[in-house]
Amino acid sequence: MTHDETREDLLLARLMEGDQAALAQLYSVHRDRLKQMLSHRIDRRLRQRVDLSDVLQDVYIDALKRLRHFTSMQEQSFYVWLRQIAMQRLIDLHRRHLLAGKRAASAELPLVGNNFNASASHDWAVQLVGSQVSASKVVVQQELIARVENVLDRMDVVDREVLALRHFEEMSNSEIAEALGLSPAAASNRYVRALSRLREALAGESDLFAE
Amino acid sequence: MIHASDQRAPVEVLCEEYLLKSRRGEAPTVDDYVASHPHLKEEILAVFPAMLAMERLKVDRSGHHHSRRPVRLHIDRLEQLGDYKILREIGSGGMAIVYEAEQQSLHRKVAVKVFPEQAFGDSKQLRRFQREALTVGRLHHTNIVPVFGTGVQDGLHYYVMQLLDGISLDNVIDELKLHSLQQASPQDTLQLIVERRMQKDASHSLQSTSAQSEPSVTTALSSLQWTHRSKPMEEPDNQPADRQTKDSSPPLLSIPHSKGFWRQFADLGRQIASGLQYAHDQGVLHRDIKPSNLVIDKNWRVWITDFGLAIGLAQDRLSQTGDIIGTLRYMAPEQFQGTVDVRSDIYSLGLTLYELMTLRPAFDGFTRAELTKCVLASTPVAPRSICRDIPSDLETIVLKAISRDPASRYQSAQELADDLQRFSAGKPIRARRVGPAERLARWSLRNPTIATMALALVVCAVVSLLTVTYNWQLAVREQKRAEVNLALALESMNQFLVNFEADWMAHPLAPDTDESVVDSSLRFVVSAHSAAVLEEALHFYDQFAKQNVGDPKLIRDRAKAYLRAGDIHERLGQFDQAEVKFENCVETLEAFVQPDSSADESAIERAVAHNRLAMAMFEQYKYDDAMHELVVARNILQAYLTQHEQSREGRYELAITNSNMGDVSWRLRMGDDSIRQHQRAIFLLEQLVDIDPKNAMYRLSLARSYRDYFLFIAHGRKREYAREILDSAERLLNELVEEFPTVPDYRCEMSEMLTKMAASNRGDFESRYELSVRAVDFAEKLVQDYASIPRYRSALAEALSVHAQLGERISLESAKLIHARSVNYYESLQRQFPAVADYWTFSARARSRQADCFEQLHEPLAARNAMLQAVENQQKYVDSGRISLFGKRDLAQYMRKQSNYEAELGNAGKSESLKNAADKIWRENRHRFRY
Repeated sequence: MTHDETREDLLLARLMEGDQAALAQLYSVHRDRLKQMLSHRIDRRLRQRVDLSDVLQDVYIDALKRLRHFTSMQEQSFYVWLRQIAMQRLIDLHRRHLLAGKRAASAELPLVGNNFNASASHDWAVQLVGSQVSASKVVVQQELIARVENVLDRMDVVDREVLALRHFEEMSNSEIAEALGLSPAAASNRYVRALSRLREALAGESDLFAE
Repeated sequence: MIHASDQRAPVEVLCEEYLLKSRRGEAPTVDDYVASHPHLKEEILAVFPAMLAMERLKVDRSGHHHSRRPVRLHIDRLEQLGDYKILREIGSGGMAIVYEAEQQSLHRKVAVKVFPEQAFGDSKQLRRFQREALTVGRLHHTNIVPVFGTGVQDGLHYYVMQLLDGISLDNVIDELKLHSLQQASPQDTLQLIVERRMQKDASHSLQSTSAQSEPSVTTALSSLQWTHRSKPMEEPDNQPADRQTKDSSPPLLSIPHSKGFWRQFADLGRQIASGLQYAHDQGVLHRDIKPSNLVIDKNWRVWITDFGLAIGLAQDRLSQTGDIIGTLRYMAPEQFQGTVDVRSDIYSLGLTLYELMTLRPAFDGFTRAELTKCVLASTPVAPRSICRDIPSDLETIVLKAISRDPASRYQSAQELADDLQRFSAGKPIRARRVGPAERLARWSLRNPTIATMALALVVCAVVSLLTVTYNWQLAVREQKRAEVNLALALESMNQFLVNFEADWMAHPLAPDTDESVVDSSLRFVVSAHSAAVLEEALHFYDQFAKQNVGDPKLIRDRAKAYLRAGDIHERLGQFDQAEVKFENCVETLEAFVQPDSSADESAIERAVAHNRLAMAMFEQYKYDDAMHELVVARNILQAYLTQHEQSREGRYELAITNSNMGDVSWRLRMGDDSIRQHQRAIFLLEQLVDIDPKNAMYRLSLARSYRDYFLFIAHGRKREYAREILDSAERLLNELVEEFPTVPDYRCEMSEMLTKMAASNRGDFESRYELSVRAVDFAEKLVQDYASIPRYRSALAEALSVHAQLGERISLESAKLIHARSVNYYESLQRQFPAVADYWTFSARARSRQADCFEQLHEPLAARNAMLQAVENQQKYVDSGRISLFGKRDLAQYMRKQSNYEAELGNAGKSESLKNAADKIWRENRHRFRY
């Protein structure tokens, strides 16, 4: 068990005993991850208007208010719980800023996969390919982008989410399983499957995988 | 540790492990994994590359930059452009080259400015350029360089202007700098200096024309300096003496910065301003006013060049190097946001005049980032603090022109021209600076009754207090006029307390400094006497608040009364009761709020109440609750500010909220948040100080924010920057000290800040020692002048203690003497104010430091005795009932120290019992200490 984990466990134990002070410390352990999560999921239009640090502060206060829920639920991992609160905040924000005036029920924001509309796939693809390939291969690059984009688009929504959680939010397999309501085995297999698809799409492009 | 589950894909388990390691900063390689897991080799090789690509994607997403290729200026040898025969290059800048040319059809010399095609990012910019040139071609004004036409040839765009015989203002500034360095002849006026430079350049350009191969010599210094030895149809005589008799310039006085000098300066500014006004009337903005775009000719006429050409190019220019810095330096803050109007030109002209006046740019920086930061975030130093010779009226004019808020500037170039004209004519100018004395006088005129009452209240404090109370009771009895009188009574009471506060002994050096880096909250040390007065006032407010429940007209007054009551409790160290009062205040105001009223007038009051409530909680170590209140306050203010963007009160309160959040975050161990909040507070306060530079409250708060922020960044990579921050804080306090010589509190604040910084464990020894010397200097003078004010004595005692501690490295013997002085001051305070618990803990700390010194001098007995005193004092402090965790922690520490000394002296039993006592305190508060 690593040092960090030990420390986190101690903090969690203190939190369970009702020591509120431990929350702040635990929170600061996960703050950067949460921020990353928010920055990947927040709508672009909102990104200009909202300071994520403010959102994070609100999340902390929310967590404080709901602390009892957490301590009463034995099975939940701390980050996943915190993340849920943050997601709720984010949804509220989107509602307030983007859906103001048009309260259509269909405008509900899905929790899973909302980050991956067509343009997001394109973004991913461009970045996956673009940052690595030399300028002389522009044509090849365009083709490659299209291919990766295609793979991402056709990928199972949940698989894609597993990828995002794993990398952008740095979640562990068990956390992902918990957040998406999967078994650890299913989450694990989906991850490997998603990576393999990606690999196939990019096969032959050694530049991309150069370390 | 990874639990290898049989159901999880084995390679995924490895992925997780790999990611964990690499995110922790280790650098595992794929080969390592292949080597240690040979049975999974194929899967690893199939999956890991994609995993690595994904992980890199995250990095790319979190911060991608686009580097842009700067436009390279390159024009091949030019001989002819249309009708124009190129004679020689006379200047070049990042975007263009200027040639002297002959217009063959008219046989006249002209200047041709040539842009290479690359200068225009796209055809849109080009069209804009052509359109602008047309507009500018229609401008006819004595101070605007006429544009004869434009053209294009071989991808080179050019426009043709009148050729000037003169020098640009940046060269004038250089020359003036030289002049001030050389202490040149006393007969020199601005004009003479300018002429001398023209002479120099004339001979210089003669040389450079003769040396055909090297035309760019003259252009090395400035981007677009147009020097030419001959102007068509002008006599070649260049003797300065001759010109003097010819010119109608005022007679020359003998001091370098004579009245004549400044009159000429003003005249120069007036000419530019009137040129600008003309252009603005025609709907043309210049957008790039700066010294190198202003040329003086030998007839003392100023020419504005490059009109409107910055348009479209400006944006592009920002991404390049070179003369960009020259442009940025004079750009108005709002231009960075892309908004620009006539007031932006006025600002740039103001900055140009500022530089001409002080001989240094208002903003400095070598990189774009530095400069941008400077322009957006700092205020130029007052010109007169650089050079005392500058007439105060001129300073006022220039400062008005460069107000950061466009609304505070001259609203038209004509207004500026008029004020400069008035100055030249010796008439009073329109721009006003409003000093504190004047403001008070105005206020008194408007409010004669209250002013007199306030004065009376100060003169006989306690008696007046009773009178106020009496009047209030009277008012309650007389039902009719009750409302009016009640409000009046409340107002007088507030006034009374405001004046009374000046005598309060605010002490920002809280006893908790060891633990907390940031402690901006003022702890008020209240004497027994003032405490009695305050209790009386408290009673008044309590009564007031209770009596008026349910009277909607007095709701806000009631809230105010609660606020005051909380205030007083806080200052008496009764934080729990303060919390109750602030909570009452919050409730009172919230009940009053209409849920649907968007333009909520009580927003700021509510925010204040939440803020105060938060800080009362903070004092009781309820950090989470405090943060909650602060978030509420912040939300109220943010909502309010979306409606009232310009509200200074709102922005000020938001700054205070941010600053408080910074303090609370720190205690919650959220260091990054803390820093960010302090940065925000600084940002807001800097804006406020710009808008209202005379507001002492803004400046004091800003200085404090700088101080808090400095403590975060004092060490580490940003040391230079930290130094700047510190300098700014000092400068602000210095200004306050100078402007309000009758308010010694500012000097005290200064001394306390320096002491705190010296004690802060940050920065190198020398600079800390130097800080402590200055802190002592300030405090010594204060105590000399105002021996009776305890706050100053306390400041001196603390300054001495820190100074002595640092001085131990230099001389233990001297340090011993200084420690003794510090302890003496504290003890006299303790004797005089036995009820003030804070003095006990301050004194204990000084004693403890003294003991350290004795220990190093190998005087164990003296060390023990000093420590004995420290423990005794600290015990009294803890027993006084103040809720202070740090007080207990310090007590335990002092006990341990004394225990060691006792052991050294052979008193084993004593040592043991002290150790046990310390351990007991530690055990009881262990978990909180650690936190």
